[in-house]
Amino acid sequence: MKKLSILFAALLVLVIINSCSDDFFDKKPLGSTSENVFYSAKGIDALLIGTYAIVKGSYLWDVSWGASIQNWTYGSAASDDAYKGSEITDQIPVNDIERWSVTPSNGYPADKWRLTLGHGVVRANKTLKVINATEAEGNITADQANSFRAEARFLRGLFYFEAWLVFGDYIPLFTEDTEDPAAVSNQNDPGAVLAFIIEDFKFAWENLPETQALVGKPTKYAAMGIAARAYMQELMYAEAKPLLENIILSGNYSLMPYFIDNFEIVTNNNDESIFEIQACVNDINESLNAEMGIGLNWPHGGDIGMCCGFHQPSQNLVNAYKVDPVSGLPLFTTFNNVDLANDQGITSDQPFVVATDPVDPRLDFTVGRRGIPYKDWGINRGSNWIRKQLDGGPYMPVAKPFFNKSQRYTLSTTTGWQTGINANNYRYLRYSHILLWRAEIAAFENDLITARNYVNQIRDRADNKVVMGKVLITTLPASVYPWGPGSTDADYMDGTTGPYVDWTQPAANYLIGLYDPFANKEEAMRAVQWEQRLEFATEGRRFFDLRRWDNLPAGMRVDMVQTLNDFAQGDLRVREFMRGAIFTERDKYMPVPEDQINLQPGVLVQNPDYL
Amino acid sequence: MSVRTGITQASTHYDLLNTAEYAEAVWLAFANKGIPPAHAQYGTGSSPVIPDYILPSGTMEGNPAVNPDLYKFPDYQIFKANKEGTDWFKEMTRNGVVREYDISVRGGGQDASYAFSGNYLDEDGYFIHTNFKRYTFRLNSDAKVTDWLRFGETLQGIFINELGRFTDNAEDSPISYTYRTQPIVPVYDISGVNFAGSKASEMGNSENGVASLYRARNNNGKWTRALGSFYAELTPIKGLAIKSLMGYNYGQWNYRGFTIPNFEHSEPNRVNGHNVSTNNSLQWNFTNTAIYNFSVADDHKFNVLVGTEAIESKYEEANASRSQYFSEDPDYMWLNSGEINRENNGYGSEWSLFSLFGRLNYDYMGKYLAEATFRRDGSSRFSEANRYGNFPAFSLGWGVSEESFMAGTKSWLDYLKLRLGLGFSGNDKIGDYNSYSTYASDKYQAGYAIDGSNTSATSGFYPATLGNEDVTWETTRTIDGGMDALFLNSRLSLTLDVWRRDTKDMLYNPRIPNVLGRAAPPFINIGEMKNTGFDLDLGYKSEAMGGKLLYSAKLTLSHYKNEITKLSDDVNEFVPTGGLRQVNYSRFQVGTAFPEFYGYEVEGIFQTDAEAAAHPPYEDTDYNQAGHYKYKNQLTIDSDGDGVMDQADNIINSADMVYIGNPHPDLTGGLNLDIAYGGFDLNVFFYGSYGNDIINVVRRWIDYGQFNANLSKDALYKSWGSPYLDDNADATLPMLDQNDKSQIASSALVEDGSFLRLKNVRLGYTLPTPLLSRFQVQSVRLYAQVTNLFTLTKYSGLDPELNSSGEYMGLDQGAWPTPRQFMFGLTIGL
Repeated sequence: MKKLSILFAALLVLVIINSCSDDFFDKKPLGSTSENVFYSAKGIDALLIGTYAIVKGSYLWDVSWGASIQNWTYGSAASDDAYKGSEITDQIPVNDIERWSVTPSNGYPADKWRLTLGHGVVRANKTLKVINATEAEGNITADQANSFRAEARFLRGLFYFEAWLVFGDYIPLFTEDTEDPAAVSNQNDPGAVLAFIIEDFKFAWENLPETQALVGKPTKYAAMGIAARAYMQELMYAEAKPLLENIILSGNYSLMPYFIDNFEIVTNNNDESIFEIQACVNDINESLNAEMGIGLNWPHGGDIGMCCGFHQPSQNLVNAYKVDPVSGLPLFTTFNNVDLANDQGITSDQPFVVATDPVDPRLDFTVGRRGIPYKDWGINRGSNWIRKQLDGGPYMPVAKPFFNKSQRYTLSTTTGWQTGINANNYRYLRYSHILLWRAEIAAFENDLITARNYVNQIRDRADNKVVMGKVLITTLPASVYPWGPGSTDADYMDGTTGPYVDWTQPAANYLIGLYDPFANKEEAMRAVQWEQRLEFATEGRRFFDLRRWDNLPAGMRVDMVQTLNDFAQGDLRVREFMRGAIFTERDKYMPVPEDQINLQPGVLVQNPDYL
Repeated sequence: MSVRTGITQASTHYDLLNTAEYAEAVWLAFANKGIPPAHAQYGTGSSPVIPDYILPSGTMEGNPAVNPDLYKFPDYQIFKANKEGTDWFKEMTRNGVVREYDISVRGGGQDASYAFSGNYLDEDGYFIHTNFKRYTFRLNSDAKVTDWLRFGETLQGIFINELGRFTDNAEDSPISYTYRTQPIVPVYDISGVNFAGSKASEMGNSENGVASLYRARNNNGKWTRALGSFYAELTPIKGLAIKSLMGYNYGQWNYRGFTIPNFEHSEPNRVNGHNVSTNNSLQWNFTNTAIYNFSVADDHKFNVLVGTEAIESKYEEANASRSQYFSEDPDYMWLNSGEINRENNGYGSEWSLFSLFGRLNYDYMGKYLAEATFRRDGSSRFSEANRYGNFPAFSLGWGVSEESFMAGTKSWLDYLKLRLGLGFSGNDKIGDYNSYSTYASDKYQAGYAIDGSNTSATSGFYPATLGNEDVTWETTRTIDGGMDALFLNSRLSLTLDVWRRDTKDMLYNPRIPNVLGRAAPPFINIGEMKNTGFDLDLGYKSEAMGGKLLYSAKLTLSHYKNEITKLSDDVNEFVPTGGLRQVNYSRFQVGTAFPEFYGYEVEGIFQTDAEAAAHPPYEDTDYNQAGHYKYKNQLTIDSDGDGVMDQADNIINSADMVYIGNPHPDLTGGLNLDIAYGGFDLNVFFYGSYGNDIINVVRRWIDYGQFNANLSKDALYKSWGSPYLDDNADATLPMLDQNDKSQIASSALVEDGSFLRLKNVRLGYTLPTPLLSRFQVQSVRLYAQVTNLFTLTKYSGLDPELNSSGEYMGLDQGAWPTPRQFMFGLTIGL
């Protein structure tokens, strides 16, 4: 028996010794892969898609609304175009952006830094690295490599351009060849950042095709157009001009028949588009593949209610659409002296009469205001549709990125809480940009005929369509649904809403006139600048345009400090929010995120204006 | 066999404003801001008017818009104002009911034994529509086959089934909805069936808590766990035992969640949906040991153990969801019947560990004790070159009381032992694949509609993780000195341990700058941490009245101090933590604990504009004014270059932020008292914590008016400028104006979290044995028990015993308070 037990013991020892082999420790990650798998055309395509993913302008929850590719905070809410909106206690960091009192610890610019540099540039660089390695291994031809490189460099240029718009020259420049990006300083020689961006776009336009089968991909002209915009930031008109000319002469683009075509889902990727940020919905939970950066900017109140009522147009912007009753031209100097009647402080069931002053027809495609049919959602009820008038003013969140009620759940998200998310593409670069930039250059060069020609083309198109349906009722309590008492959506569709809306009449007194020949370049420049504001309002550009026009010579210059402080003063007629807010030179750029300086001590420096 | 049942209640709730008070507070805020009042519900008058209806906004009875004939769900709901004010807490809670049943049996003979038990717990939570059920059974048995061979096994099965919404410590927890929803909102609209909510103007964005709990009533989590082991043990020669054990632990989690439209909500979800998730984990271990006991010359006892252990663990999960269901019947809402948004996802991971270990014990007549152990552990989480770590430990014991020179103390000292130990232990908790740099495909993180589609994106790849192959075991060295003593005929017992733990090569994944990308950075061996502390157990037990009265008391006290001694090569590196709604409340760095609260120091409230104007401005703002906080201007300039800050600048900015509190307690302890007299027994247990700070983030909502939540009584009655204050100097809060600069991380939000809680009182009665023998019953015991009867604390939140930990330690985001239970129980022994 003792022998038997010893045998057992020996057997056990054998088992123990055998129990640990190298296989036992061989635990490789499941469901992911390593870099060398991508050394092929197919692999590079996959990495490029991963890089395109970043142009969507957010990356919940690593990056949220501060990185929006539409720059609704820095480009719009910080300007005279719009307010943060919503209520003062939500998204507090944007209060400081709107009131020009941003501190280096503000989380919004940190988002922009993280998305553009941390996700965008890094992914573009990794893709470029793989392209180089794949070419070196002989898996793709030099031509193939260059065409891939052109896309990757276009994207890198775009991310750097976006960072540059917000932070100015205080951004670190690193490429796929940089050994340690964390050691790259953000102190650059004057012009170095622009030169770096242009170099990427130049490579892109030299190697990209004129058209792309996949509409989300950039063409040669997209690269030229964004490069031109970069030059425009520095008023380098001579450099921008040939690029713009090239695009115009290509004949590939034309203005769409209607202004609104630039903001409708059904006209995504149209003849006017040069580069669009593609949005799609209902492919994944919460529809995160549409632009989440504007995910909070949808109507909040009442029966239209969604999240969360941010980014409301300003009274100043609304006033800018007033026109001279005779010429139909903007009221350049007097527009903001008196407000176009608004319903601030008036509840939906108290009467409010829509102003009869003549206004540019683009107003009601840009701004949702009380008493005007709001797309196909019903008569705009004013107060009941606004999250908090007292804080965000009387206007609906900006209308351009919104969708139609008839598209709800098919072209807007069915899941998630940012329920206004929809498939509307942001037209990052379109032909009207090209024309008005070209007009700006012409005005500067005293080429008054060209300037007038392009401005009038835009105004002429703006006249092609107006918001229809004169609303005949002046009180809009919740019981008036949605086109008058007892009405239904169908009444809108067949245009039979009885005595509440007269569909044969425009919603307001629309008027737009063409310019007579300009007397001088100052007059031409003013017309071009106004046209850019009216055409591109609330699209996150106004602030950056004011910034560059501040550098024009006297006569053509727009004094940014005065413009914004005048705006803040006038705004007190509507809201208290801007009381005490003062715009200074410092506020032209966002500070370098404090957090990043702390992580790269001795490498990153703060913009001296913030020290 | 035992049965217990009872009720549970939420022990505390916030004292909030009613409808009239809330309207008054809104008007106070207008006055404070210097704006003429205008509110969609309360009008524009010099005092607020409470409307009859809030949807349509601010309407009165007789208004044609509130004609019930117009009512049409969901397009035209009508909400009546609740003029007294809805007590959301009351509406959402109830007396929960607990029922628990146990059966346990033991048995066996000389060569075999067994024990099995079963338990069933069924609890209706104190929030409505929540239920928790748990079934447990256990079976252990062993059998001696021959003199030298023994087999045995253990088996345990647990099944948990929970229903309802259990979100805790978050903005969307049921507790949060009790204070986030305004009192004027009724629970139901005029139909009495459909819910009312924040859809009415200026009602904030809280969900109707009753609706939220109701809609989640079918959300169902099921957890199954089976664990057990079986072994064979050989004793080939005397003193030698060779044991081989195979153990396994299997867990399976299944969840079904339902999204039901909430039309009454200001940010409604209008499409129904369903999601399921399932995951399972299997961990097995194979452990082999040989133990040999022997003595040399009788007095020198040795015990030697050698062994090996292999552990492998595998985890798998899958999730799927769909939207748009024809019917919201939970029997219909399965994955197959959802019409759109078909989505699924999965994940898997594995790790393994192999160890060799040995231990040697030496005992000389209970006087001199020594132990040495050695472990060599290998982990799949490290690369091949860095796989193994060696972890020795030594300890010495001295039975002082056994020494002959201690004979004189026998009268009062029964036992005294001194201990000293030094040991090393390892940690490999760094995720399973730290050494690999990976790319991953993802429809969102790397997806883009490159073809212009409105409804589908193309998936690409993105850099997911950065690997580091140079990482190895984190090592903690523990030095422990202790004593065990018994005094006074063993009535008084004392155990004291004083210890220090130094962790080096601490596994830490330092944040990397954005320019290195956003792939998850690897853990590296970089930090160092020091913990020091002591644990004290003091017990006393005795009897009186000739043994009829037995009583005992036991006090336990613990103290620790945590300090980070190294974080990275940059001595100034700090890590912001505890970020909630764009405010970071804490951080850690070298010299602090992990973590500590960080923010501005409040020096009071400005009483006059002149006082405010004389203080340096807060950043580039006009925040400084009467009624706002006075943030301290710290010394931030070193004017003479001696390394000591000796001068203040002229601005209040982030440079003025300092450490303002520590969520770690100085001391925690428990006191357990037992008294028995005749058949009666009484147990009382106190638990307390001293010296820890808490930031009650809930106050940001109810004291400062973050969003349009309901407000605390203090916000109306004790804020600066309140008409109820005789003197503004008595204000406990700054003026009510929702100013975000009053809500930043500051010492005003830090509270003393110390508490003493009576956790348990139990009174039992055991029936006299003679009474029972007639019924063939061995014992019957009845008891009544109350848990959480009272808590002494100055903390303003619902419960100072927080469940937040790690980076969020000490932050109360609206946690469910510990319930108070009233229980009756019966135990019968046969």
